[in-house]
Amino acid sequence: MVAVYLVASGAVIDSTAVAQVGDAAESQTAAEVTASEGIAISKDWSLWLNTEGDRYWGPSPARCDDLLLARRLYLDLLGRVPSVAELRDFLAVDEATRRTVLIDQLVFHQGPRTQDYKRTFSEHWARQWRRVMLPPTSQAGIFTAELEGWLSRKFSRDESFDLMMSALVEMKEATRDNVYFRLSQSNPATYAANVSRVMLGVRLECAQCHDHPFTDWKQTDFWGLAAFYSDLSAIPQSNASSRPGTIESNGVKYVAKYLWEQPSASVASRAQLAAWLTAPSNRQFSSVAVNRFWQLLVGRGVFASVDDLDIATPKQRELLDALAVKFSESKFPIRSLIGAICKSDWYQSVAFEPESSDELSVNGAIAFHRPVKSLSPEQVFDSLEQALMLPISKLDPSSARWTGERMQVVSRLGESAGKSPEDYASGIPQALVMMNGKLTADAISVEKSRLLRATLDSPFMSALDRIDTLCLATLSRHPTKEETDAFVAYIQKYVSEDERRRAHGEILWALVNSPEFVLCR
Amino acid sequence: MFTNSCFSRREMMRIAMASVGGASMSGWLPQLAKAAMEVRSTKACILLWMPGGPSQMETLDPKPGRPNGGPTQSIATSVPGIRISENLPKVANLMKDLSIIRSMQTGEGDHGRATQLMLTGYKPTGAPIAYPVLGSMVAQRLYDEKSELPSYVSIAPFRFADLGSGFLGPKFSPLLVSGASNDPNTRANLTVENLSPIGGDLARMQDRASLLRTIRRTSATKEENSIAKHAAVYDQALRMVDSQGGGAFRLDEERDELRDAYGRNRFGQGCLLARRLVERGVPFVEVALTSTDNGGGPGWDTHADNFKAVKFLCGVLDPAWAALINDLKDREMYESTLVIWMGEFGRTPKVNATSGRDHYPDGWSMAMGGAGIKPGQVYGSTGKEGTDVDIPVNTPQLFATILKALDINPGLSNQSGDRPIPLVDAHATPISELLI
Repeated sequence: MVAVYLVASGAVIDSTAVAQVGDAAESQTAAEVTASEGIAISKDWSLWLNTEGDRYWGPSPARCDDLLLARRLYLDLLGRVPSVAELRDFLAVDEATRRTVLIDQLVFHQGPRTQDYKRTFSEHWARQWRRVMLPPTSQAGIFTAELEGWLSRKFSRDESFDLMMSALVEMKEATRDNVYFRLSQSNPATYAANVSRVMLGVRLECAQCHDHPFTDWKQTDFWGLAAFYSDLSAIPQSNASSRPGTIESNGVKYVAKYLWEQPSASVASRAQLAAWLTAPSNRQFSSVAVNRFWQLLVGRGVFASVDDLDIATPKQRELLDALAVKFSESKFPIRSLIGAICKSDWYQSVAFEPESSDELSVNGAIAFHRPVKSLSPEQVFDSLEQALMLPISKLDPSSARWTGERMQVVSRLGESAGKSPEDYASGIPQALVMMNGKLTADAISVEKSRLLRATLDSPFMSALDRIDTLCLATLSRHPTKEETDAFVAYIQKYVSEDERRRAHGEILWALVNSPEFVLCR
Repeated sequence: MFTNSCFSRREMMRIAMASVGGASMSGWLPQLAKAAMEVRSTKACILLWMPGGPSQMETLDPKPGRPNGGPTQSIATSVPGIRISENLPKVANLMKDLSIIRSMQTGEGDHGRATQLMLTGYKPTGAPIAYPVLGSMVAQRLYDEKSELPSYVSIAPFRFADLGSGFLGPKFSPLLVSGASNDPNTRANLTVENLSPIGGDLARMQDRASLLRTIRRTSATKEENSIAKHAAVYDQALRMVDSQGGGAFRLDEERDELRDAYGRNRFGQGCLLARRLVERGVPFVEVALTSTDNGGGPGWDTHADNFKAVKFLCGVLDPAWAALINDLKDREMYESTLVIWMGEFGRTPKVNATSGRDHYPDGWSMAMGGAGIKPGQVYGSTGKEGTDVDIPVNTPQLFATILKALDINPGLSNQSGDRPIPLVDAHATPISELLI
């Protein structure tokens, strides 16, 4: 790691070359050392979560079935649905251990397909965090790829969470670690608001113009944070001598200070800010992190309003804070945290909404939620790619991933993406692209679809096997009796072999267009 | 309430033929589709949206002969005493059918912030509330659930801000009709992407829909929120595919002379499409006039060469706006359809060094006519040099007036989670002088 750092801090170096050096070095060192430790930690924490959660929420709801859990894990950890082969491998493992085996495979990259899983895992989590940092409504638009690349390298090196965030706060390696700052319009005020929301769960924007109406945040808090970045502003300051440490707004001069602390003469550098912000003693930082990972996996934060942890009552954040202590004391190991949540009863419960959905109800009772999640645009495309067995090689001219089709579909679906995992926001244009778009057209064409050909041309499959395979490939489950009956009846309506083959394409259309395909239950 | 006088009998027949056309081959919901055709009991709104901020001096509030007026002359209108810019001669003839507000004072001079203000009625504050745009608010109040078309259509959209249905959800988000194409024929025949079923056969679509219903019915597809939303959006989309948008997009059904009158360009044909959509029950249609090239950029943002640029854009705007009003009147739809013309702000009275005008939110013009509006008036003025506003109108007041004109009570609220969000900010009340 030392060698990598020296190379990276050298002057002008091709960033992809650096990334490769980093990846290679990491795969030899970190994976062996931390994987087994991580597996042990995640098991330990998950057992703790089961007990403590029980105390906090009451008994957990029933466990979901194995196939549904596999679908969740592939979507949540790799960003795509499992293949039929992967599902069959999963079911071949002994029933008592198959869940843990799969989680260790996907989170700690044990067993077969290690490299592939590791890459997909890093890309998926980078995308998730990019969305946290730059929500769909932000103006950053198409330039987010650079931040995703930056995050992806961090995840693939298994960097700890505090180091990752510290790099963004401090921007020591200015040309690379300032990526998030640049996507915040290189504006100290915007960046202060982003850092405070993402890493501290405090929404300070209101305090930019006036003291916060509901909480105690003042303009001195907002501008005190922005002051750490005043020298980097892309907008010329009225006060040209502006240096980091002070900032001017509307004629008032503000001094750099840590949020919720008094200004101190010795505080001015971003390095100090980074150290304060990511310190294990800063409970707000670690609790926000734990809450965000929980939300991304379970669908709703332990405290639902992930951007506003400052308004949570001590009771509402009791469980979070306790988990955050474990997280920070173990030096913020991301995969252990993800593994722990996935192994817990709470992640593995059936989709669940309590009778009263009001967490702030008068009697102070706290209810557990396991909502249905909506797939992100990228998850939808990558799942289609997986389910339909689309070619993925760059060398294949028909690979939708590389022809620009992925970008088109993702951007159309992204035009109305939800604000949180729970939020299903797709409208008619998004439905139309799934119903009638080119990707679906190719997918249900007997001539073009690899999935259909693989299913229809296999001499070993019975009529029922074929339906089962289509259902597993798309919805990761077996068809119900009613579905099987309806599909068989539909196929048998036709007499000619060609018509019957085509009918399988229509069934595939319905599977891909069903709510289950774009949701994660 | 207004009922079914907007279609002539012949018109009804024609629409019915076009959309249900072949009940034998289409229609998983033929009765509903028919019902949607029979009654249009609500008002509708067409927003002519001018992104970039049009110059009031060169459109509705000319100051000929004054230092700030530039070379733009004024002309008489069909209302004695009211004069507007020479750039809008056809609209001037229709002045008795619309009213102008010349004293808009809105306070936001940045494109993004002003767009958010003028489309949602709320200033951007960074508050964690996704305010819905006017179109979504109106759509939610006036949409007929059984319609085979969506509640809100946006034609040639261009916006400086990422806005949509906000907390009202996907049911009221706009269907975007891009019309962006370099081929003039395609461009004139505005259509919706992916409206044709795969294989082109509507009967096949019926098979698909019925298979889909089987899957929806099974397993754990309970009345969970996301699943219900998915079903609602898909049913809308399926109705639209089945009816091919109620035939609304078949602009070639219209007489050549009428298409010519609207102007054979994206905006002109967009206005024609807006009429066809409203006729078929869409409660809110937005047509944007961007630059007249194919790039679709903000043509009205005339920091340089203002006079030539605005004259050119008015060459597209004037015939289209006038044809729309005339067409709606001919069909007895104007009294139930509110037509609004506005951008996010106006332009500085003072001409800058590059013959341009810059952003100006402190005294600018908008116009509206049709449903609910008392026509033939000018409300407010900007004085001799365009700088002295007498009776300032802010955005919440304008929104209250628009909603009232559409028979929507501006005092109502929407729910965002457990929080009531008033339709208009600050309990604004409508401008009674402008209402019937």
